[in-house]
Amino acid sequence: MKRIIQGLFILFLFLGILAPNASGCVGRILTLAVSNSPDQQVMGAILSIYINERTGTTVKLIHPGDIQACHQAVLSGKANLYINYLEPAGKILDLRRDREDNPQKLYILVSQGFLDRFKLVWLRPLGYKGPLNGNLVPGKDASLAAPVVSVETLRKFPVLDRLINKLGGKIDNNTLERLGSKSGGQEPEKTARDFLKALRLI
Amino acid sequence: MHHNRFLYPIMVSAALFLLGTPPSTCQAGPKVYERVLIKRDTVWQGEILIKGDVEVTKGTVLTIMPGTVIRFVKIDQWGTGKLYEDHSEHFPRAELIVKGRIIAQGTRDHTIRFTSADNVPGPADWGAVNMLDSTGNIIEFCEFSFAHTAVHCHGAQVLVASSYFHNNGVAIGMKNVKKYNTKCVASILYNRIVDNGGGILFGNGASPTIVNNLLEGNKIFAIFAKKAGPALIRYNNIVKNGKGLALYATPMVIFSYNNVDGSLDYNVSLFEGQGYDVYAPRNWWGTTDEKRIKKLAWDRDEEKDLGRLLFHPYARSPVKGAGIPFRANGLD
Repeated sequence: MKRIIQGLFILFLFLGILAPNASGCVGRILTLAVSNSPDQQVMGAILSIYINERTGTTVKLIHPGDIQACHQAVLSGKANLYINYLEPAGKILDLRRDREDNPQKLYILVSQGFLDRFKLVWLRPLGYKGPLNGNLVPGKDASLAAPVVSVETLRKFPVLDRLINKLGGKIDNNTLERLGSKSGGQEPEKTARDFLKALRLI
Repeated sequence: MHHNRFLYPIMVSAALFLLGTPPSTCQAGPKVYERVLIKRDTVWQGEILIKGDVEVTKGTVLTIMPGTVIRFVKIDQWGTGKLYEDHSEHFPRAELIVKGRIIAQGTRDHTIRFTSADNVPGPADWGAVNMLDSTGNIIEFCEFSFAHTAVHCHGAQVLVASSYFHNNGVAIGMKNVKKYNTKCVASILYNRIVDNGGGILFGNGASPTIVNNLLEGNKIFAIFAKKAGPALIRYNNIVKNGKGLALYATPMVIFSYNNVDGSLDYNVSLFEGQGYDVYAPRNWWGTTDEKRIKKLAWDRDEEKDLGRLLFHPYARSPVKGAGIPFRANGLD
């Protein structure tokens, strides 16, 4: 995990130099908040490279803490997007009494609730269930993961939802486990890049 | 004779007054600038050390003589050495801000150097030669290294010729901004732009002419047009970059007679949001194998929302006359 974080730090240090919006020129920075769970680390690398490769936008990763801290970071404008899970999101909305066992129905309820209450948009679920423990194995309470982005961000980055939705359903738990184990043995950037190239996404 | 004897010191004084700064041979060390506004026409020569933002104010001309070396100290980001806190058009470390004019014309044998003063220099040690709402600028026979964005324009017009850019975050960046009436127009000719993070970045209607340059080994891209105005990109050698040409929401570029080869990623990449076709005939793509040419381009064949790279007819051999003409760049 340390290797993943170190690798990403080096990558984004360099990309940060090319982050002209932070200082000067044409491009813009998109800030992605990720928690320290293994699935979020892997997804952080994938999303960052994918967005950068297909839009030219520099992506800055921040690690504010757990999912709730990531949620707060987006609400406060410190970040533009993060990855959340249906179950804990439903709890935030206090959907327990109305809880749906059907993930699709729960997704609709959560999406609508987040839009109304927080002005946050749920994008297509990525395909895997989380959050995960250190072995990248989903626990019994795991639920579908999806990128969540602020309405304000979509105004500034008009193609972002269309782009990220192309990842929807393409990363199941087996894929994530494979990517996680690969990242331990080589540069996480390369792992993520190879994965995206194999899917013809970049 | 008596007449001349009286006139001579007057003429010398007048010349020195017009030149502004006396030559460095009269100085013990480099002339130091630190968080200062230049309010009268000034000439730099010899060694210049910049320890904070320097601004050439509106209506003022800064002339830099051949052989001058301008070194920027790696100051604290957004620290006390900065004149402005506006992140949208300034850089974290020291800049030469030009709201008047800059005339930096070296010669083939005596280039002007803009670089880091750090013992272990790195990209973004200093910000930029940052032209804001400014016209009539000339950069010729200069060398830029270790800047964030070496030559940067917001609503500015500049000729950049026969210069050498290396180890910068981005070599040249420009865009139009609403608050300035001046539109970004740049002629970028005969430059060697190698081993930077990015080569030339232009957007928001900026309209450069990019002709007879070498863009090689730039890690992310050689040329990136983002919501750009019409641009003419011809007779360049664009080799071994991450991406050769990247485009986002740019309706028209004229991209032809270039040699585009050996890109690590794609020779041409249409980014998400580039729904316009890209007219790119008569380029040499390193091969006559059409499948290979297609494989090194990302367009509608990969994503239905994108435009197409229109690369027919394509050159059957490297384009003659592309790249830097003989001795147009003094560093060759």
